Amino acid sequence: MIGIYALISFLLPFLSFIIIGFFIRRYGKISAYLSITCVLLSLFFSILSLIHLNKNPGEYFIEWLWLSQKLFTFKFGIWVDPLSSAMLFVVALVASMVQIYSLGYMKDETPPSLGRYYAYHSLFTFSMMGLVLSKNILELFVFWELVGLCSYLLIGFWFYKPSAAKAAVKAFWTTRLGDVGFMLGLLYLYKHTGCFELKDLLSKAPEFSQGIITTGTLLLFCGAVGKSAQFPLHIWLPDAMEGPTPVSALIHAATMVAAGVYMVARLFPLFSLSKITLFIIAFIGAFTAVLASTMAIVQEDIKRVLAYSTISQLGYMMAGLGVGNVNAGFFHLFTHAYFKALLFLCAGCAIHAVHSNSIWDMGGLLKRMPVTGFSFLIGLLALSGIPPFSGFFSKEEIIHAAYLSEFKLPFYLLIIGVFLTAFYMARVFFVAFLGKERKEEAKHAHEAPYSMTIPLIILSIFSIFSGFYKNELYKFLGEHETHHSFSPILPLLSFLLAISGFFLAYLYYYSNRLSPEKTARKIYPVYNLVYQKYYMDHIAEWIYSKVALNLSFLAAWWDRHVVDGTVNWVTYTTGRLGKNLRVIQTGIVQDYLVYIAIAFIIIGFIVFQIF
Amino acid sequence: MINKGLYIIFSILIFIFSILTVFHKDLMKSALSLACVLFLTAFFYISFGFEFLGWTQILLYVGGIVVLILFVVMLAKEYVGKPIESGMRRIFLGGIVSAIIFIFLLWVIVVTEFPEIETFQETQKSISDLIFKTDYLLPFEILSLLLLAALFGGIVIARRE
Amino acid sequence: MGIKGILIISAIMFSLGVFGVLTRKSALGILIAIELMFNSANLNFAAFGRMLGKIEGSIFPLFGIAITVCEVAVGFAIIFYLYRIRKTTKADEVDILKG
Repeated sequence: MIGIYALISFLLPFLSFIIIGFFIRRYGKISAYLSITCVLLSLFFSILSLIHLNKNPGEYFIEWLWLSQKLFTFKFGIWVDPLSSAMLFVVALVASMVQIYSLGYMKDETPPSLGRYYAYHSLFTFSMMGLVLSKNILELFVFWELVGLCSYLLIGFWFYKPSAAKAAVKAFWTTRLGDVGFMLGLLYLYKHTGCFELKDLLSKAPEFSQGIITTGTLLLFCGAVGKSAQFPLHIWLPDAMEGPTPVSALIHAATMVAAGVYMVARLFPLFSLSKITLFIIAFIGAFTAVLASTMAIVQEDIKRVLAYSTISQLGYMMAGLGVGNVNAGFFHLFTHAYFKALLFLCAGCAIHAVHSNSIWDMGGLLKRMPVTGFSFLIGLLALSGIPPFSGFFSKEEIIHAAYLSEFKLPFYLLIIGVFLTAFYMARVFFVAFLGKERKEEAKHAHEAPYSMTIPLIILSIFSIFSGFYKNELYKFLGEHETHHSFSPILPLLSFLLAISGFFLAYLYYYSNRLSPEKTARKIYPVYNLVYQKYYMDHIAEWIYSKVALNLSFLAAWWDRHVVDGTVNWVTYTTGRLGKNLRVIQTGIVQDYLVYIAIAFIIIGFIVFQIF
Repeated sequence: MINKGLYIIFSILIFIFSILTVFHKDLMKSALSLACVLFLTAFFYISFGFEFLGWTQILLYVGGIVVLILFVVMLAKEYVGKPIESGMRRIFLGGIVSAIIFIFLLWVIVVTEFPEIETFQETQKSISDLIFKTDYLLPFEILSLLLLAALFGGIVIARRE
Repeated sequence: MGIKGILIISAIMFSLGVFGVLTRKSALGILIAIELMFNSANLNFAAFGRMLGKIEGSIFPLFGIAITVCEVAVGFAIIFYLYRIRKTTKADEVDILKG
């Protein structure tokens, strides 16, 4: 059976989770090795699956009967096609790199804690693969939620830190909000189409009315907004940086946040039938891209910069999908996974070296940590879209598609984003890796151990070379767009914008010709607005405390007084009844004889049918 | 086949005496009224033609049970105490209940069609034949066992330690 | 007189007996009322026996009398015992099963 490779790849992390979670959790090192072995094997099998699929094109299904009722039959299964096996490979690769990296990064953890960490990691890998391979939308939702759960567990890994615990809850809440939309969309589509199976939904799509498709897909997109941190549900991702850096790399850069994009890509034939939905997706994506870029400029925490960068790039992906080119969006997901994970892992090395997240505590790291520094540079160039790195190719596809589409606005927003992206990334590089050491700690920085640098090197290689396989990927995925005529204007434009972004950062942060403080003071109101993240966190908190908490109090009141009240009333009445009926038991036999006589009379009446 | 008037007189007498039995406050007089009722019932039995039954009634019931009651009333005064009438509520309820029962019985009696009174068959057996030569032997023997059990029971319950 | 007359008398006796059982305060009084009820039943038996012309009409009341004898004996024993335990024979005061 062809799909067996994907199936094995999918089940290996689950096996690891079960074993670690139930049995060997307190032996940290052993759990780590088990988890890494499983995920590497998983990677191996996913490669096999890819190769196999390439040789025998088509789609493969494996399914099991889960629930069989009169109303509907429900099957769980996996769907192995080019899209899912490509994504499977990405997940397996980044997951394995991150888990190997974690050996070095988390070496200060106590063994039970380490075991817990790897258990969560295995569970996450399993859930993400399940999401990727899902055959019907309910299964997708199950794994969607599981992935969200793992995100919560891993963000709040150091749960004794209040900020981490709060961040985990915030992440869960915000994505939950999106998930409500997703669930509604799921149910709505089922009610109106009667299918759960993704394949059925896609093949029957042209039969449904515009209204149904638009509503259903918009609701599903809500889930994607939450999971992929688009505006306005992006507020959880920066706070999610409270988790360990490898977690940020895996979940919040490469895989979980890509789930939303993946879902839209999977269901694209359905989405593409509704112009309204596509417009909304494109617009929200492009808007998020620019918004997040502006916020990234003023961050001091290196992980937060990368977080906003992720939000921005996810916006690019969504925009790519929204303008109609699903291959472009997915390709960018593909390349972004590598270079963003790379960037996060480099940041992790830097943080580990100077024991601080702030870029102002670093400086001059390039000469002390060359592998880290150059890897960061490679990731930066890829992210900014400089040829020949991979990011260039994928970003170009999206920008080109945006230019060609009928919605004009996204294109302009994305172009602005290119400039901003280059600027903030170069800012980080200039401040943290070049120049003098800014604090004492930076002077003692040293290169990271091999367990942390080898993944960096591997991911760098992918960041450099994966761009060249664009055509192969497109052929593999199936052509959705006809090849556009190659005109150099757009690539040139974005290249120039990126270079100017670098230059501006150079002026501000390296050569000190321009002073960031003076500029900030001059445009202080704007600066403050951006620095406060446009007050969106404040708004969210206000909404939460006013709306959600009050609703909870209302519900609690209802539960305590109405629900419990009913039960209490029943008990009370029974007691009263009992007390009042007790009077009959006088203990005097003659009274009882009276009752007997009355009963005898009544029975006599009944028997003789006097009534 | 006795004079109808005699029947009526005796019926009225039974009525009066039973009222006395139930309503009299003094237990002695109540027991004696009971004896009178039983006497009159024996008369009815004899008038039916059940002589043996009638005399047995007088012997056992009046001569045995009522005498026993009288003995207890007279000798065991400390066990009995002064009889007092019960509260109004019970009288009311009891009255209603017994009235309903009476009306019910009355209704049944009036409504039902009874067959003609038959004369005794010619081949009437004597009572002893009836008891000893048919299936009524079993109840008879069991009755003797019952008497034995009652005897023992009474002694066991009421003996002084 | 007819059978109905006898039955009516028996019914009167029975109802009065019921009334007595439910109303009398002293246990002995209750026993006396019970005797009245028994007697009415026996009278019924005899009357129906006569109506059907069978001699069984005389032996059933006989059994009834015998049973009554036993019941009275045991009833007295219980009353004596009750008095010994409760120091009273008034039906109103024997109410430990109250509540």
